[in-house]
Amino acid sequence: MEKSTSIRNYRDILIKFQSLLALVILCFVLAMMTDIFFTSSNMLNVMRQISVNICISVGMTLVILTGGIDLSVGSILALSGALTAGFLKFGLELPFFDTFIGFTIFGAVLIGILSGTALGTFNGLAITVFRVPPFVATLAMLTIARGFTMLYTKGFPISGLGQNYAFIGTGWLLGIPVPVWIALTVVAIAFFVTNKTRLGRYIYAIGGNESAAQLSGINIRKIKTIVYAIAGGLAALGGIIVTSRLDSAQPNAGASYELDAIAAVVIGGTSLSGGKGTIGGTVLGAIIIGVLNNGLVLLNVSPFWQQVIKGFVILLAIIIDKSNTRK
Amino acid sequence: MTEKLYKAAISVGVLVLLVYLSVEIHPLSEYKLAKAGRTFDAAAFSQEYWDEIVLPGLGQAVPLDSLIQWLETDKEKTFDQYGSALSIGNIRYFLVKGTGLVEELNQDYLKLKPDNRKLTIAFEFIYGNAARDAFDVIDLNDFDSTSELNSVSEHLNSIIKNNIISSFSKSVKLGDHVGYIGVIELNRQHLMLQDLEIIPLQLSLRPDFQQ
Repeated sequence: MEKSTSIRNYRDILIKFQSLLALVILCFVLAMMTDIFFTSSNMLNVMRQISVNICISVGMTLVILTGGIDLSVGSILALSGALTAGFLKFGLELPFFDTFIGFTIFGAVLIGILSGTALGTFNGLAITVFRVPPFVATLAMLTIARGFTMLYTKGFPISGLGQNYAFIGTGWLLGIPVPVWIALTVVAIAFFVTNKTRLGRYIYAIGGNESAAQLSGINIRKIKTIVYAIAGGLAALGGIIVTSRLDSAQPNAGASYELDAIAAVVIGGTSLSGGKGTIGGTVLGAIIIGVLNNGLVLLNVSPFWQQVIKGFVILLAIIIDKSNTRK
Repeated sequence: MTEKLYKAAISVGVLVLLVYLSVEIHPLSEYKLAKAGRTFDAAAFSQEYWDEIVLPGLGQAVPLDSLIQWLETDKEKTFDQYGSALSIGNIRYFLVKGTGLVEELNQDYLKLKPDNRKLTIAFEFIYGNAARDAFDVIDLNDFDSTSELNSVSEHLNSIIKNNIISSFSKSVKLGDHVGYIGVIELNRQHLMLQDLEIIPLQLSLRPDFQQ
C-alpha cells in the first residue's frame, strides 16, 4: 500500500516536471554531441531566438487555456510588423486634409501593437458573437492578415528602418539582448495576470468548464475576446521584434510561427482541451523548441529532417498530455 | 461624479501625451514637394557612385594575401577593420588587390594561380551587392524602398560588365599575368578562404611580368 503510494508520488512528480526533465536531458545530450552548445554566445543566441516565440506562445497559452486555438498569430505578426515598418518609414498621407503624419518609433510601435490587438479582437468577436469555431475563425484570419500584408507591402520587403528602431531587436541591455528583456517582461505580466488577477481565474474557469463558468456569472464573450485580443497584441509585439532584428518587414514573415507557438504551449504541459497549464510551462516549452532547433542546426541536421523531428516531438508531447489526462 | 471627471481628464491627458509622442504633422503639399525633389534616378546615382566613390576608393584595397593572413591571425578584428556591409548579419565585403597567372579561362570566369592560392574572377555572373556595399558609404535610410537600393547594385554590376569585363575578356589569354582590384564576400560565422570569388572593379594585364 505504502509502496504504491510512493510510486504514485514519484509518477506525479515526474509528470509535474516532465518538461524540465526533457529540457535537461536535451541539453545534456547536445552538450555531449557538440562543443559549441554550452558556450555563452550560443546560449545568448538561443535566448534571442526564442524571445519572439515566447511572446507569441504566452498569448497562445491564454487562448488554449480557454479551450480555444489561434492559428492566425503568424500572419498577424507579419501584418503588424509591416504596418509598423510602413508607418515608420512612409508615414500616413491624408490628401483630403492636406496633411502628412510622420510617425516616431514609439508611434509606429503603438500602431503595430494596436493593429495586432484589433485583429485579435476581430478573432474573438467572430468566435464569441458569431459562434465560429476558433479553428475556423483564426484560420480565416490567417489568410486575411497574410493577404493584407501582401497588399500593403505589394509583396516587397520594407527595409532601412534605422539604427534606433534596430535597437529593439538587436540591442543589448546589461549584457542581455533587448528581445530577451521584452520576453521576460511579457512572461512576468502574464504570470501575474494568470495567478493573481480575476481575469486569470476566469480564463482557467472557462477552459475548465465553460457552462459552469457561465452559470457562475462570468462574461464568457468578454473574457474570450480579451484573450484573443491579447494573443493578437503579443503576436504584433513579436512582429515588431522580428522586423527590428532584420531591419526589414518581410511579407512572408511569421509563416508557421503558430505551429512553434502551439508546440511550445503543448510541450509546456498546457492541455489542448483547456483549463490546465501554466505560463512557466510554456516558457519551458519554448526553450525546448528553441534548444531543439539550435541543436539540430549545430549538429548539421538537414532542415527537412529538422521539420520531421520537430513534428514527432510535438506528437509525443500531445500523446503524453492525453495519457496524463486519462490517468 | 468627481471621480468620473478625474478619470476622464486623466484618460484624455494620457491620450494627448501618446499622440504627442507618436506623430509629427506636416502639410501634405510641403511634404510632397520635398519628396518630389528626391525622385530617385538609379542609373545616374550609380554612375556618380562609380565615378566618385568606387574609382577613387580603389586605392584603399588591401593585398589579398595580407588580408588572409590577418583573418587567420585575428578574424574578429580583421572583419571589424576591413569588412563592410549595409545590413546586419555575418556577410561582409572586403576590397582586395593582387596579381596572378591565368590558369583557366572561359566566358563565365577566369581562374588565377598566385603563388599559393587559386582565385576565381567572375566574368559572366556579376550579381549581388559587392560593389555597392564594399565602400561603407551608402546609408539604408537614404532610400525609400529596397527596390531603389537593389537597382543601385544592378546598375553598378552593369557598369562592371560593360566597362571592366567586356574589353578585358577580349584581350586576356591563358598564362597571362593579371593584376586585379575587386571585392570578395566572406561570412564571419563560416569563414571559407579556400574558394574565393572576386567581383572585379579593375583588371589589368602585366606584360612586364617575369616568371
